[in-house]
This record gives sequence, C-alpha cells and structure tokens, in this order.
Amino acid sequence: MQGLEQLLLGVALAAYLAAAVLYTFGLAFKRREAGGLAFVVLGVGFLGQTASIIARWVEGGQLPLTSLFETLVFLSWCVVLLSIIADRRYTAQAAGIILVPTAFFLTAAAVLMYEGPRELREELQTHWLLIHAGLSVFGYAAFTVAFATGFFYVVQEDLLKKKYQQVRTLIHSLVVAFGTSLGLYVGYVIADPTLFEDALGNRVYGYSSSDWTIIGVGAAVGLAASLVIGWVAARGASRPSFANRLPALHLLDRLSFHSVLFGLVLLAFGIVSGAMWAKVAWGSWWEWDPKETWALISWVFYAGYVGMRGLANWRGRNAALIAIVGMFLIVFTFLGINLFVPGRHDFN
Amino acid sequence: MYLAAIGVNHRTACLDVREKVALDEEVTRALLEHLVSRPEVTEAVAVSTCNRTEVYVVGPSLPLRDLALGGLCHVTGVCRDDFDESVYYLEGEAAVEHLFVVASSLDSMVLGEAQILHQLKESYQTATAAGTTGTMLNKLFRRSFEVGKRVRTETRIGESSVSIASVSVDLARNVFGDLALRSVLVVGAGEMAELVLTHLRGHGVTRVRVTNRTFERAIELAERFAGDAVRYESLTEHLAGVDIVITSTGSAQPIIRRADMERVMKSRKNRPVFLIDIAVPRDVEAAVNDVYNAYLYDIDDLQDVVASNLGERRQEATAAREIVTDEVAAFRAWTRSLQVVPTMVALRRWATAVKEEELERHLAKMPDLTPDERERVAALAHSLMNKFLHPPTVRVKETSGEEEGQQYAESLSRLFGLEGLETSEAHTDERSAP
Repeated sequence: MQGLEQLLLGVALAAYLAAAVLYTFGLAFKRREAGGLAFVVLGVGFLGQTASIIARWVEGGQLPLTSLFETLVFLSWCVVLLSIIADRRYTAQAAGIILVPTAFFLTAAAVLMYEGPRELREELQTHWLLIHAGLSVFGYAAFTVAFATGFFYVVQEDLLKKKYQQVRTLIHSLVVAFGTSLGLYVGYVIADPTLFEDALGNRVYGYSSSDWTIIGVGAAVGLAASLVIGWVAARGASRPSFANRLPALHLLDRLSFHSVLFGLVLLAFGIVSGAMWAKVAWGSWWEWDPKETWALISWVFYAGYVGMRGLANWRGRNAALIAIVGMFLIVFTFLGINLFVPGRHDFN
Repeated sequence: MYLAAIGVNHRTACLDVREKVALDEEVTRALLEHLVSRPEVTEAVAVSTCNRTEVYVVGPSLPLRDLALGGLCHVTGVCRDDFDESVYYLEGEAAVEHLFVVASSLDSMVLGEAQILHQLKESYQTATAAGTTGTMLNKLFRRSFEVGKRVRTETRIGESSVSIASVSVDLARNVFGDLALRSVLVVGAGEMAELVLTHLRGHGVTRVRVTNRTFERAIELAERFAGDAVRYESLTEHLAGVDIVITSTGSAQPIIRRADMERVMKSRKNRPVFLIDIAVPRDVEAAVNDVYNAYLYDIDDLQDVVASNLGERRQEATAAREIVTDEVAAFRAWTRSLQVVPTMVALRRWATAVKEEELERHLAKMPDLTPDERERVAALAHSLMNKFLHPPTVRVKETSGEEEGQQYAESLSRLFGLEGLETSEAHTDERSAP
C-alpha cells in the first residue's frame, strides 16, 4: 500500500513538473496546444495525487493531515484543484504559471521528507483535526491563488500603464522575490529540525548550523536562479504581444478577489473549529498560541481589504498588492511559526 | 512547358503606374484570352490587387517577357516605355518562388496580411473560368494556396495586430476582457475614430454614446455611428458612465485634464477606464494616464505598439521563408517528374509501333491461323512488350523528381532514338477541368 501511495505521488510530481513547463512554454511562445496539453497533464497529476492521498487514508485510517509531509501534500492538492478551477471557470491559464510550479515545489518538498503514516498522540485522534487543519490549509491554497492572480495583475497593469516600456525592473524584482522565497522555503523543508536542550534545560526542536546552511543555500540558489530567469522573463514580457496573452485586468482582479473571499471563509471556519477543538480538548477557547495569533492577523488583514473594497473601492492594483503582501503573512503563518516559535501546532 | 512571370508591385512601381496597369475582371479575361490566342502561350493567369499586377504564363519556350508585357499593354492601353523599368521578369523556379512568397504575404505592403490569399484565389478562378489554365498553372496556384495556408497556421506571421484600430481593440481587451457589455463614448468625429469604433463593434461593443461641441453635429454623428447623441456640456458625467473613451476633436487645448479625471474616477468608484486619444494636438492631457485605473493611449503610443507588433511579424517571416523554400523544392520535384512524362510516353509509343509492325509482318506469313490463334499471338506480343517496358518505366517514375530520373529519361531518349517522338502534347490529357 505504501508502495502504491509513493508511486502515485511520483506520478503526480512528474505530471506537475511537465504541466509547469508546458504552461510556461504556452505563455512564453503563445502555443495554444501547449496550454491545452498542460491542462490534461495537470489533470492526470491531480488524479494521481488524489488516489495517493486516498491510499494513505485507507492505510492510516485517518485523513492524512497530521505531519508536515501530509499537510504539504494536501496543500499542493488544494492548489492544483484551485488552479484547475481558475483554468476552466475563469479561463485564466496564466495563473497556472505560478500555481502549478508552486504545487510542484510543494509536492517535491513533501516527497523529500516522505514518511509513512504514524501513530498519532491520543489527543489528536479526532475529527476536529480533519476539520480544523483541512479548512485552514484549503484557505491557504485560496490565498495562494489570490497571490498568483495579483502577481499577474501587477505585471499586466504595468505593461499597460507604462506602455510596455520600463517594466523590466518591476517584473525582474517580482520574479526574484518569488524565486528567493521559494528557495528559502525549499531549504527550510529540506533542513530537518533536531531536538536539543536550551539554556533552561527544556528539550525543544531547533536548527543546527548545518540546517541553517541548507536554508541559506536554498535561498541563494533561489535568488541566483530567479535573477537569471527574471531577467529573461522581463525582456520577453516587455512587449504588447505578451500582454495579449495574459488574462485581462478585469478577470485577474475578479479572480483574485473571489479567491480572497473564499480563503477568508475557509480560514474563518478553520480558526473557529480550532477554537472549538481547543475548548473540547483543553478546556479553553483561545490560548494566543503563535499560530493562532498569526492566523488571526492574516484573517484580519484580508478581511480589512475586503471591507475597504466595499467601502473605499479598493480594486485594481492596490488589491493585487494586498494579495501579494498577504501571501507573505500566510507563508509565515503556515511555516514560519513552525520554523521559529514552538507551540501546540508543532507537527511533532 | 516553361513557366514565366512578369509584374509590377508596390516596391518597384509607384501608385501612379500601378493604377494604370490595374486589371478589373473584364480586362483580366481579355488579357488571358489575348495571351492564350498566341501559339507561344499555352496557359495564363493574371493577378491584380492594389499593390501588384502580375501575369503568369506557360509556353513551349522562353523568354516570354515581351509577349506577356505586350499583352498587358494591349489590354490596358498603357505605353510600354512608361513603366518598362518597373517590371520584373522571372522564369521557372524563380517565378514559382515569387508566387509562393506572394501567397505567404511576405511580399505584401503590410507583412502577414490575410487579404492576398483571397485575391490570388479570385484571380485563379477568373483564369479557370476563362479556361486559360492547364497542368502547370493549376498545380502551381493550388500549391500556392496551400503554401499561404501553411505559413498562416505554422507561423504567427498574421497574429499580432498592425493597425491603430486593431491595436486599440487588443488594449481594450487587456483591460476589460470580453467587450460585449462595455460602453463607448466617442468625442468628436474623424475617420480613424470611426474605424476604431467599427473594430470595437466587431468585438461585441453595442452601447455607444457620441458627443460633439455642437449638439446638431453630435446627432448627425450619432446617426452615422449608430449611437446615442449626448450633450458636450455633460462630458464629465458621461466619462463616469462609460468604459472606453475615443477622443478625436480639433480642439487646440486638452478637453480632458488630469483633475477632471481624478474627479471622474471617484464617481466611477475606481472602475477602470480606457482612453484612446486619436487627436493631434491631443485631446487628453498626458498626465491622465497617472490617474489610478485610467489607461490613456495617444496616437504615438498606439503607433509604438503597431511598430513592436510589426517587428514580431518580421521575426516570423524567417520561418515563413523556410516553408517557402521547402515548397519550392517540392514543386521542383513535381516539375521534373513532369519532364520525364513525354519520354516515357514516346518510349511506349515507339514500342507499340514496333510491336504492331512485327505482328503485321509475321501474321501475314501465317495465313492458316484461326482468329482465336491470331489473337493469342497478338496477346503474346503485347504482353512481352509490357514486361520489357515495366522495369524501366517504374524506375524512371520512382526517381523522376531527382536528377537521377532526369538522366535515365535522357538516356532512354538517346538509346531508343525517341527525340522526334517526344511532344509536350503528351500530358495535355492531364489537364484537369476546374
């Protein structure tokens, strides 16, 4: 069973890589066939991953959302599901250019730290985990879609505003920021926290210096690669024919907004279900655990934007920038907390 | 059977000359009939567009320049000396390549435009209706349509917009996506504004408002543009209500300033607006582009986009050239294979003659044979002839597109003394009816 699960996950990983390349190729060279093929390949990967998750579920007897590996797999599954929806429902294929590679890296990171299903601490053996973690992670995926569409909004809007001149720097910086974060993240996933004793004699998880080196190298590789890719992309993108291949501003704005709304609802349920679970398990609704706090901050951030959109017509570029900044909050909430601050949301 | 072409185009001749030798359908037919009435010409097609007049002729010998040019002068009444130096003359493969280049719109004034293929088809149809095409020109023109189609589907030569109007539509679509529910405000009149509006309509825009300094003129224009006339005094109000604005007035001062647009954007609740300023001097202050969610393109900006898109078409032209080169080579193989046909027909004719002669001679010596037996003998002779001819015929046909086949045919011709028997009539039966 474990072999089957891994095989299916491998199929998904390969399909996501192929789909990412095809999506990029389709946008860069306007080959409609590439876009169509990318969608089919993505679909195959999605089915593979779905089957893999089910196989693990059947074997482990619980929805696989208990370890970092399982959460990453689920997150990438959600991202792919949403990018399939973006591709069909909103015909925003360009979003796939960010979403599908993201899904690929998430899956790859997960594969690197593969572990079989494990025995859960008794307190976690509950449906609450499924509801709480599932909803929250799905919410994060929705915010990722908002980020990707926001990213392309900024690119498209700059191309239009600046008449295809002097947009290279912006596109370059966007790609570099994205690439470096991705490298940092991959480094973080590869690095394995180890148990050690702090000054007070408490046993906590932390990173050794070699782990920090891995994280640093990850960031450096991401930076270097995105400098090159960004330069090429910025050169290629600074022309009207490229802008014609991107979705329209109207569509990107709408898709980004809808994603934020969807993410807000999911995260709200995620937070509330977490609070209810805490009440049931520990007898208190809210503990100001770092993850709880940052999830709340993220939620308030996005909710504030939605409010301002209604009250002060925050649409367009500002909305896109918010979706981009919000992504950093989400990444910190999802991973940064586990990285820097121990709490009851640790996977161990 | 030799192919030649003469012509003038936008590169070699000024409009003045092109106008004089332009051919309408009737004159074209007269020219074609005039040409094929001469023994030197067996096939003819004439192509005439606003950028070119070309005549393709096929005859038993070259050169055909004077003849084709003479025909053109005869039907148009233009004195030959008036444009002789503008005329290009191409023979054989060069003429084939030229037609393929034309069909690929690589020779067009606007690189990659789609009209030319349609015009070529019409010219060809006129010729087939007049009955002046045969094996060579049928094959050549049909192939040229395929070449044109291949270039359009396999390269992106026709993809990017290269007119102010189509670029405006592209830009509007980049802002709004589907234009079906969008509304347009046209300020002022002008051919270019009308053209842009027509293109926007082509993409589904139906709601059009028209305004002008004088309301009477606005009503007039509204009728022409099929829109609603609105008062110029309430311009700001209408700016708040539409998605696309086209300005084209003769005003010396900007009619939409940044401060106006700032106010308008507030009442628009930040909904994006796309302004196309076609007027010179400009109607919209350049700083309007700095207003949040307002996108302003003046005539220079639009022309820059056109130039950039033309640059992309030029890049695609390289790939298109390669397709043309391929196709010319394929056509060369076909014409070569055509060249061996007379030899093979002559060989067969010679063999049949020998067979008939020998049969007659020998049957005369055998008067006792029954009719049945005579038939058997004849069948034997025929079968022997076929068996002997089969291997060389197959071999020559197989290699007919290459140098080798040509050499075989030549050798056969010499070895069997076929020179006198070869006529190009041999394949007129291949002439396909249109």
